[in-house]
Amino acid sequence: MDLIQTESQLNPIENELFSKITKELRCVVCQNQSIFDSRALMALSLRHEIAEQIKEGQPESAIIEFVVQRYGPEILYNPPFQVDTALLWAGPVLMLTIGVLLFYKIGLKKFQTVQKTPL
Amino acid sequence: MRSLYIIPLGIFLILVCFLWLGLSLDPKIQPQAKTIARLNQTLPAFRLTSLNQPEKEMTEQIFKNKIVVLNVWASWCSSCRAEHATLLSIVENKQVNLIGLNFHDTLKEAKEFLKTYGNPYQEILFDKEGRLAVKLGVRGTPETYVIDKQGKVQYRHSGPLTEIVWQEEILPIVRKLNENE
Repeated sequence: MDLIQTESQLNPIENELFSKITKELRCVVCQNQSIFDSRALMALSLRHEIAEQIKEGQPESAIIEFVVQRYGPEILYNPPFQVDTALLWAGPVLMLTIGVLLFYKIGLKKFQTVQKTPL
Repeated sequence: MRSLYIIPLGIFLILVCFLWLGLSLDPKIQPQAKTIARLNQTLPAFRLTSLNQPEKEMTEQIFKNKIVVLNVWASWCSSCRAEHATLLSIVENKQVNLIGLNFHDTLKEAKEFLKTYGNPYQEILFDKEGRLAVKLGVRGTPETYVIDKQGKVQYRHSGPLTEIVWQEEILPIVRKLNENE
């Protein structure tokens, strides 16, 4: 197929960049699969476009920007930290902090109660 | 002190809400499908061929100086078959330039499709590799775009076109663009 041919024309360095970029991008029509893994038609077209842009000498950032402009930041497996993704990034840390604080408060109190209780 | 025990319960309930919201989303409906897709952006430059005249080169020039409804379709796409009757009635009854973008298809099968179901398109771009589709931000077939006289994308509809979508969403946009001339 013509689409795969473009990928096979990439030299080893270009191929490495190709793998890196396509692994960072989510397939837009299938769930939980990267463009690197997917063989959906839409993913094949995106792979073709990315391979072409690599051959043209476009830098990684420009290629990623091209895709994000068209498919939105949700296509990135690693979305940038910005207002609408703040909860996504800070959420786990926030949860952990709350958990530690609770553990400290409740756990410590119980520990002290146990210690104070005469045997 | 007892109130502290309510916090984990509260967090748990919030997480349940997020999970419930997430699971209730239809994975087929793409988020921001209408807002992204190069809205208000000029169509990208492209070089494709015509489906009916493979020797004829087609460029972005075919969108110049006219309001165009661009429909992305393929012969293998069952939803495209579902919307085909709507497309035929649109061109039959109303004044609209309907251009097709044939996506990931073979000439033979695409032509057979049109022979069987009828050809509503003025012109069809044959995009075998989905190159223009990717530049447009197409997520799947069928999709329908309204492109103004300056060649800018003014509207996008994802999924089969129905008479209701045509009457309530697309036609008002086409009319408004015509008035703004």
